[in-house]
Amino acid sequence: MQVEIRGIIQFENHGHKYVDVMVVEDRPDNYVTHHVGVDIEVNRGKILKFLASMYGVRPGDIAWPAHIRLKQGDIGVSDAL
Amino acid sequence: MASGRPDYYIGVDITYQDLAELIVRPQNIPQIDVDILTQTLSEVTNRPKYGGALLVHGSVAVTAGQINTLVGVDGKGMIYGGYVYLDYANSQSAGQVRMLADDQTLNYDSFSLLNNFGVTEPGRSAVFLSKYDDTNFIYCAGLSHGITFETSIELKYFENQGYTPTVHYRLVYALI
Repeated sequence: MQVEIRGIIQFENHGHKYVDVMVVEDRPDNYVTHHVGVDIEVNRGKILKFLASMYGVRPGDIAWPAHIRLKQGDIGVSDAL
Repeated sequence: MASGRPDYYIGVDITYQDLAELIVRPQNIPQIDVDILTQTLSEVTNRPKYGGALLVHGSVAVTAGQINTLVGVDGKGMIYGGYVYLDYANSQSAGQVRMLADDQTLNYDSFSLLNNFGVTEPGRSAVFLSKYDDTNFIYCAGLSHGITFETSIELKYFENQGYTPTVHYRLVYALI
């Protein structure tokens, strides 16, 4: 199965910080959203590890498009590896 | 002593074969250009390649005097709509709902400015006024349809009157 990240959604709700990742399975269809973290610091490595374990592939097999970038923000995501 | 041509040199005359099917594969497959104008298609479907509509929503007790991030989406896509609203005990007429596309702030307008100049229609601004009640302190700003982004979209609320209202948001969008 080919998995590609299409979006990372960071939001806050009632005092809790959430990070969701949307991926597309077997392009071009089948968009799926996964809940990666709640109130934890999430970075690129953790997202790749999470998706790799979920899909049973290696982290390097998860496609990360160039236009998807994590930036240091105030909702749970750090770009630190 | 065996003589003669070894078996593995024996050729096969396919014209004498009784094959169920004969597959002929050309050595070099030529490039074939397809002219869709000469096709006899009943219709050609042309549609934007966006994924399905998505909703993200929540409520944030914002920090006074700061620009508070409500939601951020990293990706490439388009805004379909949404709104940001609050119902508080004190005036938030100077509060600003800000939309940032690809780190570019698209508006810096307060609720009172949007109300004073009648910016109430979708499309006139990335953020337009939907409700302004400075007596009961109920405010709502809508998000215009069709705002595209290449790397990110963010919703922020700038509280600049020294209070800590709870700001509610709903964002409908799609990603490529």
